[in-house]
Amino acid sequence: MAHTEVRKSRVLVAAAGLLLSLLVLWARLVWLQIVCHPRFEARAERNQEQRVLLPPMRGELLDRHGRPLARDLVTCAISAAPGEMKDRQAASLELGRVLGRDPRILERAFARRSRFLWVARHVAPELGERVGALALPGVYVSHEIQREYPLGPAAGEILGRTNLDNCGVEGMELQLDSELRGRPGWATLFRDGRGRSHSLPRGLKRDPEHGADVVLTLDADLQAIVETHLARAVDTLDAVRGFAVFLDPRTGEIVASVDVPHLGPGRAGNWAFTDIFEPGSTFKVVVAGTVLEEGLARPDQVFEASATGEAIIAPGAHFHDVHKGERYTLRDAVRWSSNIVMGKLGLLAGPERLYRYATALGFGSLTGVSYPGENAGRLHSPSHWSARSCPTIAIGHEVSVTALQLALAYGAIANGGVLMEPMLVRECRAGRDGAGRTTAPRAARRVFGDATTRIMRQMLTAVVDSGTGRAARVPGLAIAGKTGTAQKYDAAIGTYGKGMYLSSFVGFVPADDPCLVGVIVIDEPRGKHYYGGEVAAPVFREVISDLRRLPHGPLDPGVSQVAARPPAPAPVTVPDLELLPPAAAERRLIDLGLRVRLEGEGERVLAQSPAAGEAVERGASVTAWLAAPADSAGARLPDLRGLSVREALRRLTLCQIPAHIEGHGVVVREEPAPGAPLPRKDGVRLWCEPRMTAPEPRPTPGTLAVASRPGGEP
Amino acid sequence: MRRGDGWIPVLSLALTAVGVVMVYSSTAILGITRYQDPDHFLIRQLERAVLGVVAFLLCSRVSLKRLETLAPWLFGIAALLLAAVVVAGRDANGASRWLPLGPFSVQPVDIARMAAVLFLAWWLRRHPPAENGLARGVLLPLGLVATLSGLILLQPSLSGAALLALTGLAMLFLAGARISHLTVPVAGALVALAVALKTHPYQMVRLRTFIEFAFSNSLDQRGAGWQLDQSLIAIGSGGWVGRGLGGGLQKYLFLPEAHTDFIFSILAEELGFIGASALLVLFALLLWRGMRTAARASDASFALLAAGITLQFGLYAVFNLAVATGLAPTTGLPLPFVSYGGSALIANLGAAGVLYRISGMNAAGEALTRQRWASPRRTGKGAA
Repeated sequence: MAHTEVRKSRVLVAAAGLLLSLLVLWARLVWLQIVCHPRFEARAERNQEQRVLLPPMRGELLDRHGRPLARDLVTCAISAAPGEMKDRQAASLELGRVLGRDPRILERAFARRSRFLWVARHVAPELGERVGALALPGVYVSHEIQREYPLGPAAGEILGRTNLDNCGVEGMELQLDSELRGRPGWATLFRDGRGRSHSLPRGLKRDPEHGADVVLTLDADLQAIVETHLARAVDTLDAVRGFAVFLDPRTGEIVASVDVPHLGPGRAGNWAFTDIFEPGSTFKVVVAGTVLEEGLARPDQVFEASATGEAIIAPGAHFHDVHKGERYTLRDAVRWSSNIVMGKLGLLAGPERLYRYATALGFGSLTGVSYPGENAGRLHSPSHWSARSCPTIAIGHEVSVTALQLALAYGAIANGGVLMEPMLVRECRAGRDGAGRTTAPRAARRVFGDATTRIMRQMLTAVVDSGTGRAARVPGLAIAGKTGTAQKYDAAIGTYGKGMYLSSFVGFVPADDPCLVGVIVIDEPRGKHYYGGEVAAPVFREVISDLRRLPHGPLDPGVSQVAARPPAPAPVTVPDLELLPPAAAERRLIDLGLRVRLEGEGERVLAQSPAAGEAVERGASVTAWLAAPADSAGARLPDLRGLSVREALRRLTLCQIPAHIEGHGVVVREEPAPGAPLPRKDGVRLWCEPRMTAPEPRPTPGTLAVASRPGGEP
Repeated sequence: MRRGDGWIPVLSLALTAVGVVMVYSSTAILGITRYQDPDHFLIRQLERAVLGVVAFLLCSRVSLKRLETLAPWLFGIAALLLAAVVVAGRDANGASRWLPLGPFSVQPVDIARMAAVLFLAWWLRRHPPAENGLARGVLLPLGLVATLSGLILLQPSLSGAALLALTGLAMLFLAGARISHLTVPVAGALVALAVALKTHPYQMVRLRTFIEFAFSNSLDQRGAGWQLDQSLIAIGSGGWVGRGLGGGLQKYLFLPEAHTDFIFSILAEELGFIGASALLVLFALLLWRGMRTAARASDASFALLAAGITLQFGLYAVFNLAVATGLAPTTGLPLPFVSYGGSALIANLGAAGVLYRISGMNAAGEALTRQRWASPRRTGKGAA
């Protein structure tokens, strides 16, 4: 055996080589695992998409009684990867049996596409579970969340919609998105190198926080009722569109908001909040309220109109009346919607006051409703007004409003003079713990006194009972309202277009204690009928009569009581008895089935109560005051000089003498001169100048009431 | 039997145990996807570990003298098996490395490399390279080893062939060959490597990927660089303490061969820097004990055998780890004791048994010396 020495130095070299290599590897580990760790950690996360989002359930939208208006519906989607199937024929047979589909069609579909196809989407969860229980290879069941709206398109515009990712993109869904959305959770589900997902039992997880349920002020019943009638009206009238908003005047809660037709996503809008229009006659309550509140006119004060129905009341203001009359009391001017008288009242009020009351009623500014895209309307300040602006705005032109502003303004008249802030959200029920927050009604400001609104309510009741809004009458229910027919401004030709109208009706009910205000707007009704009273008022009537039949509806103050009462006699309009001899007045009233009470002595009736044109029940009594005999015999024109315009007008009205006033302030000259015989036909011209002396004490409302309507109100 | 260096069985069994645990951790998902059974790979690895322990015990008892006499025969059988695998091997991943033997599949390369080490130790003791000149002393034994390398190269397994040639070269160095003589085969090996790369396109792609990575630190993350990229993500995302045993995420089919060639990446991801360092320490200790055994061996043949076995462990471990950490081009080398794979584990444990036996001889020799000093009456039984 040859002797071989294995030198230890060479073994040492080999050992050192190996151990040095391990040292180098260790240094490499320090570099990779310590120094570069954050970078690789981030890459690993991206690589594996370790956190999988768990989508939260979107909160529900509920109506004021807790009925769902929008909710998340969990459905199943069934997909197939035919390439992974063991037996396509058996799989399609099984699937066809459970889903009720033709297996042969399924099999053919499987043969065409081997990688992926949808078998069925939006399937009921029970069906999805049954398909999952089959455990067919290559058939997958996944959950899909679908937003469901139980009212369908009827509330589509106000509620808005969500997109494919279940985020609100329109309407209340957008407005309340942060409340409804909730917070997604995540889980350490992750994807492997082949793209399949696995869940780790020990994996970190955060449960999703489901969105809060929100109770809206909307009433699902009313919403559906309004939609039905509005849609039918728009259909039969061949109108471009129609919209309506109903609210509770006591709280400002919006109970219904409907838009017809229902246009597709992106084109639809809740026009009652977002679109502005020239209101026309419905705006006349502003000027009427202004002159009443300011004491510039009394309800029964007579104003000159025009027998021809045409008048130029200011430079460039050429007004027409549909219901022609030589003169109107203020009540009748409202009842018959006289443009001429209302224009004159606008002049009487003056720009500053008219503007003050219009803005006080919320026109020209945002109402603050929590809804995306609300419009403020357009109302210029008086410094931009022309000579004809005052009468024009008084009859509802040169001003643009939203239906919501109109409803709130009428709400102020209905509830006694307080402008409410609109409300859409009643309560936000935060999550599972139930710590919700509720919204309380808020008043913006007081606009009118109680007395003014009471008179206005009477006037508006007369409109429906016997005026332009008769189509809104519902037997046995006192309804107040006002019609409006505005010619539309046509931007194409730069003027008011012929034959293009926007017809509206604003009403509240019941007239004596209103709990519901509604605005109905029909845009461009085509055909013979286009007046608001013919087009929009019937919609209001149908809504109210349907609503009355609804048990536990807002108009259900003891149905039994109404049912037990004998059928209400048809209301009678009180005739105009002024200047009639007592015998004739008596005969006239008896003809109409009314009872007569004569007060005082004289040859002519001087005043009456209730006022002419007011609707009363058959058998009611009418009081007539007779003029003193001295007055009727040789009355002379009183000396009005030194009196305020208001006092002078009051005295002239008592004598049934029309007045023409020039200037304002204190009467300085009258023609004919004092002491002349009463100029009943031609009237008196009064020249006035601003008052230089201290104002005389204003007559108390009591005396005013006695003067205008002796006996006061019941 | 005399007791050898107790470190060797402890370390090799510790590494085997780590391997079983890591194989389970890295294959549970793969087992489900492939065999609907998370324990599929674990059970196989456990069976093989048991067989490996049996091999260890057998090899640690077999007479080293008899083993030496078997060396040329074993060498011949290994060559035949390699030839057979070239002709009738089973395909896996584009290379035929497996030979079906009854119920088992054997990788002849594992038999061949151990046989080559045994053969070289036997040959070099009889024909010391320093005394036999370049041709007979260096080129002849290397040529014989190169025959096996060439057969391995035909599988094709460039890395296996290269490591075997490297082992042979190192053993010649340890046997005392002149450095000047060794430059000739080194030059020849480089030429062979160049030729091999030219004829094996997929090796070339891997080399190019590696060179790109080494010089520009950029990886083609979708193509050839995918595996290395995923391996680096796994190791890097481990951090100090890792994601916890079983908590790794890269094994979810991101990292191909996570249980064989890239098992270290999973270990580093799950056990972190501390765990990976511990594994390096285990290997370092094993290599140290192996080389110490070689240095203390009483016989040159045993010393070369111990050194050759230790070199096999060391070179495979170093190259496997270098591949996993991106310091060497991607090749299919298993991590000794740890990676999933039956024949490699059994061969390694058997070789560890031989190593233990040699260390026992050392201990016996030392004990003998000590006893001679202490009591001259007793005589050692001598080397068996």
